[in-house]
Amino acid sequence: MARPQGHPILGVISGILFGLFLSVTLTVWAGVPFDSVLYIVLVAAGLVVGLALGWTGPFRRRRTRPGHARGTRATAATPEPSAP
Amino acid sequence: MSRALAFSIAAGVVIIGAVVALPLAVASADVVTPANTCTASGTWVNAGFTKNSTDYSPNDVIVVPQKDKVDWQGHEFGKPIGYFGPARAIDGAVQVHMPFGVAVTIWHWGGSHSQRYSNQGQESYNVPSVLVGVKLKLSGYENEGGKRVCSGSVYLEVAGSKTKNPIAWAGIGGSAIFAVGMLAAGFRKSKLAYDDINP
Repeated sequence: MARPQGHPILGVISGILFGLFLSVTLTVWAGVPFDSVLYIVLVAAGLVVGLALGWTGPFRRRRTRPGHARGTRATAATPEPSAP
Repeated sequence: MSRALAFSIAAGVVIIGAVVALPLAVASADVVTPANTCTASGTWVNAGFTKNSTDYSPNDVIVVPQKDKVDWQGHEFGKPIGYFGPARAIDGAVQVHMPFGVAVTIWHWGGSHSQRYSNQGQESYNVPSVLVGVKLKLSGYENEGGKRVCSGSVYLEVAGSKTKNPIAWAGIGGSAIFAVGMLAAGFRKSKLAYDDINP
């Protein structure tokens, strides 16, 4: 089985809570009944999407150029001042 | 009397109540099944309106004030207030339906030798602001001798500004925060380069 590329546990927890809070938002602002099956659907969808994102890791951080990783100045790119 | 109980009673007047049955000439909408076996009515004293269980269908939404006093009546088989009949075992409840199929009983009644077939009273209620604007499903039932006499349900919404409901803002804030969390979970784990470990 392939190893997860992203952060699946973070994805699952965030997905479930996202579905829950989105359901609450729809209940208050859009008139969705409090006992609606939408709660189950959105929480399940959040779980699946969060797990999928965390497992596949489709986003990549922007690569930094050598020497810029820790905020240091790249010596190779900066020419040394010539001696007088 | 607890707030939840008062609220349940106020709400219950439009559902089935303990007992019910106003003799209706015209059968129309009814939140109760079978229709007209049980009926209930409530008069909101401060708001100045009356609601009858026979005026609504189960999918209707009844908007009620956040705080009020309710004069309520309930009848079973059309028996008038003060009527006493053959004693029988009764059991009934009013429930609020929550997400994920959870039903919370907020009012329950029963007795092994009840002779009442109708009842009335006045109750005050004050609903917390977290329920303002939320469409709640209330249901109720009445059993006699273990058999279901009637049951019914209706939606209830507490009137008021949704912007004053803290849950409304918590929902938006939580959605935004955890959407970011989901996106963050999608970033690939970064491995440290050799130069980062051995500068």
